[in-house]
Amino acid sequence: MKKHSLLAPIIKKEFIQIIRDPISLAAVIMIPIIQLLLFGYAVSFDIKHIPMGIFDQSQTRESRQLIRAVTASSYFVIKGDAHSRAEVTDSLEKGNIKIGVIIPPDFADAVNAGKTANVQLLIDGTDANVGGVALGYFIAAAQGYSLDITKRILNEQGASGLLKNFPLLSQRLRIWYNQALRTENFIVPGLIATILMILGVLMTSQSVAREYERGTMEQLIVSPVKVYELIIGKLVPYIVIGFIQVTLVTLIAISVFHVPLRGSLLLLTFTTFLFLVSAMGIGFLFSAVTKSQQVAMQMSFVGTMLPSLLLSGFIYPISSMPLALRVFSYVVPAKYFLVILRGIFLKDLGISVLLNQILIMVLISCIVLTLCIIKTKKSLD
Amino acid sequence: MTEPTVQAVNLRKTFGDFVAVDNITFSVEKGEVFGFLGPNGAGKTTTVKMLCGLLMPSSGSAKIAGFDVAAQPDDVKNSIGYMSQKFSLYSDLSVSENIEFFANIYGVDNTMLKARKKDILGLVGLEGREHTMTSSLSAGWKQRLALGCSIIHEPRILFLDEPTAGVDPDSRRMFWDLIYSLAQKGMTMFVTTHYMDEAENCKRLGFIYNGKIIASGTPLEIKRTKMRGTIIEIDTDSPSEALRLIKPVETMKEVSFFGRLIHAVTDTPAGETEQPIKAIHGVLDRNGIKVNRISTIPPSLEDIFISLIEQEDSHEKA
Amino acid sequence: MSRWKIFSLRVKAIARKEFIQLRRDRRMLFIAFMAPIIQLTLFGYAATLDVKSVPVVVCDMDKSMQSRAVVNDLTASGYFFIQQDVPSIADVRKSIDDNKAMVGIIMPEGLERNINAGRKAHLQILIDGSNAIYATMVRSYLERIITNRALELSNEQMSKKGLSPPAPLSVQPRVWYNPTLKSRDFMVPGVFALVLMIISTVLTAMAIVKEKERGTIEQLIVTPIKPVELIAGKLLPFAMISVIDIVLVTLVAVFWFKIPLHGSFVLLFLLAALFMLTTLGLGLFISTISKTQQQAMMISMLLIMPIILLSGVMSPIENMPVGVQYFTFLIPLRYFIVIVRSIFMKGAGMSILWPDALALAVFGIVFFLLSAGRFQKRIG
Repeated sequence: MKKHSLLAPIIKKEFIQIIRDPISLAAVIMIPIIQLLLFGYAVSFDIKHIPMGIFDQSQTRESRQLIRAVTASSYFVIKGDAHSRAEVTDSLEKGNIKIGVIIPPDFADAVNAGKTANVQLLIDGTDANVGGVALGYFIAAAQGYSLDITKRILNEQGASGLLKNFPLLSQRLRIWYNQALRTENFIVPGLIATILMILGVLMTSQSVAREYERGTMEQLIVSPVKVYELIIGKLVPYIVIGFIQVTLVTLIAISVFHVPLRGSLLLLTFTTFLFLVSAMGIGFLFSAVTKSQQVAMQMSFVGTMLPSLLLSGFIYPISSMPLALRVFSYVVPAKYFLVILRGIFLKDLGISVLLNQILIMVLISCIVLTLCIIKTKKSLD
Repeated sequence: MTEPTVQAVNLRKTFGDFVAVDNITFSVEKGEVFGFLGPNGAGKTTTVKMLCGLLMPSSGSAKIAGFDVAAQPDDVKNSIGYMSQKFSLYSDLSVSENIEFFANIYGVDNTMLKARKKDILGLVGLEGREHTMTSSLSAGWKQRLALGCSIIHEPRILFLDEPTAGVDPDSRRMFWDLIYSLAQKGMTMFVTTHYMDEAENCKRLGFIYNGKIIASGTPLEIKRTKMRGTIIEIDTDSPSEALRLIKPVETMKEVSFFGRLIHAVTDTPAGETEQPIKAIHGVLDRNGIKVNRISTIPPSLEDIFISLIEQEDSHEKA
Repeated sequence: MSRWKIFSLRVKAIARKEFIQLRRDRRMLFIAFMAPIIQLTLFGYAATLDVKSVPVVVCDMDKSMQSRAVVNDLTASGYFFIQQDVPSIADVRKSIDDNKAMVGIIMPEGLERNINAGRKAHLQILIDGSNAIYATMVRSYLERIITNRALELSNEQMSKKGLSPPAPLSVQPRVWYNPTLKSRDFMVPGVFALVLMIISTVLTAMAIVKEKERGTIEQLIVTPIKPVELIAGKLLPFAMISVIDIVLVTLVAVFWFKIPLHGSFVLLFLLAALFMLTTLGLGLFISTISKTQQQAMMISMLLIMPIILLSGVMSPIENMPVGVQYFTFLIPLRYFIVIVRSIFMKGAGMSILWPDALALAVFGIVFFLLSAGRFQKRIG
């Protein structure tokens, strides 16, 4: 009975303070929505419509066939025909095109004679991703063109038996969980994890650091409130806000961007709760250590925003990182939550498959909360 | 006679529908300690902020050292010092760094700085503690340092907004000694306070309530002219019971506690209080309350202000 | 005393005060100088979409020369890494579910028999598409390798039948500016810009709001100090910190990450200083709309994140919807990103960069003046 009566006032006080600062509250609610809309509508990681310049010295049926093969997909757009090599390099330097194609004068003759025809590619490698993808697309298109030539020769030579089974090796490629490779499906779970992590840590660390700065924390610690009640009381309101954010983002994701939610809503709620506890616990810990809003904020930026953006596997695959970072990624809670979120949203995975991740998150939360209690008790001395 | 240092004419400030300061007119002479009094929310701080150029008046005008606050804000700012009720120096700078900082801001250059700093440190009594971090000073010393920083440029008038709030009585006394010594050197002191004992120390007073000045003059003038009726002080063993009984007695205007004592105000002039004293004595005796002492007393400023506020409130209602 | 003398006296006083406060706050100092380096290092190492050691799970039911040839092609390419061999298709599924592998390759029984008999052979590939960006790239690499194998096999068959196979088309790529196509060379200059922006904006906003929150700004406003003096004095220390950060971050980029700086450091430095006008202006602007440090921080987040997303640092602007593309012209960071990348990677000079530099200057000055004007109004 007594326990209840001490927890409630802290939660109430915290809520009152949150409501009295409508600017921060509005920002906290707006940030995830703006992020989601930007990722959904404005930012696109799909590499398409790469501007391409062509200097076709052959000007034959064959060279035009190659160009058609390359531009059949929507990966490249031709930005005018160049009349000299210099024109191509000039456009490339100015950044008007990202890829330049130079077809030699003897292209058609070489192709028809079954000899190697050389096509020169100039690629702007500044954006390594675009450059790499452009190169890949072009080579694939060139391979397709080669296959067509082989087919034509087979046809001319009357080898219809071979032609029927051509090419001999074919691949049946299936993309799981996200057949159309829609960016939204991949962004939304990642966004939920990063946003919750960033805002969770920021909000709690600010609110606790402010109490230390203003001396009200001392007042609370010397009051008969138990340390764990104090921590729970501080966290509850922000967990509520965290849930509001998740609900909003999930609703927008499902209704506006048609992201599937294939798994269990209950499991999603439970794991979100776990994640929020660990994130906010970290925020609490930061401010108990620094006792200053400005420092706690910078620590949150460096200590949580970057790791959850970079080391969680959100955009950048952990498998391509150096060993030290791969090891470090094991203590980033967002990494586990992201696996869970993608598992629930896209894969319909149940608790049995995700058990490892859930247990690790429970462990992280326990460690963080214990540290919070120890650190807060110590700040009395 | 010289021009007054502060002269406010029909000064008014509204925030939306709320009238914070309502057409006030007053003046402060050079070198006097002017006490600006009033309960919280009466318009004290708003008035001071307008006079210092922190807030624009909605209408009316004010002149500080001959400069108009709206038209010549820079000249005004050069002529004044301001010390706010909230401590507003940099707590992470040392005593001497704070003084140097404000000196430079006021355009005191480094050739004059050393001498000025020495004067200030001597004046506020912080010699030898130049390198103390401001955050580790006690409240009283912080206020003295704040005062020092606000007079670094030798302003003609110093505004002190509740300078002694939250300071212990000893430090308060020392702080007021400082105020007098500055006034003696010709600096005009404009002090807002709600301590009545401090008000008694001022040369002249203005009393603001609900945005209006309802009394002004020297403490003596105010006591003489503003008190209607006479105060009877009663000392009994059961004051709350007594208060209840005295209230309905004839000619009683207001009856209120004054510490453990009761102050009852009657309509009758000072020389004719025999009748009401008898009446009070009678009613208390009848109810078995022992009267230790009962006599008329000269009014204190607090009595007058309570009575003025009640008059004003009853006016409002009517 | 002359107007100018007073101006410099006051600006120096504010700036000195700010430096003293910074010096006393060791953690703040650490953040001002270490945070950019940590951020750059993290981004440099982690922010890579290079297709490299993609974990693959193989279910080889044929166990033949042909099936091993496919696996060899994959490992030899350097892009893929065989995480495990599993006996059944169900195990492939499980490995992908558990995030142990991203790609599954299933080679059915009879693959070699079919190929040798001139019949069509199929192999199955599964890709985890959760990370759509990466999956797209992985797919294109996979397809290239498999198609190459198919072409080789077809040619072999033709030779066997006595037909002369055509020579394949030869593509001779030359990659400019970044021959090895390392995304780090591209990311680090971008992060260079981001780090500068975040540090200078947030530090500025917080430093001013802190004075508001503590009430010290009131004491300043009653003094005859001019807003322009206050702004100059306040911004000077943060501009200097940012300048030191520019040098630090460049050193880390060039000497640690070995990102070649092809262009002129002086030009980079000057344009970075120009860019900082906008970030300091943004910091000022944020300080005018917030009363507490918490608000300043939340508003910074609210503004900075969209700016970063729309600046082209994370994804190419050409891919954005046309309306959004026009909007990005209003974002000064956009020009600065182009400038930094061009100077680092292309060695570009003013003859190429002048339009971006001009846009940056115009926006920077206008934005700075607007913010300063707003700030002046707020405190005046």
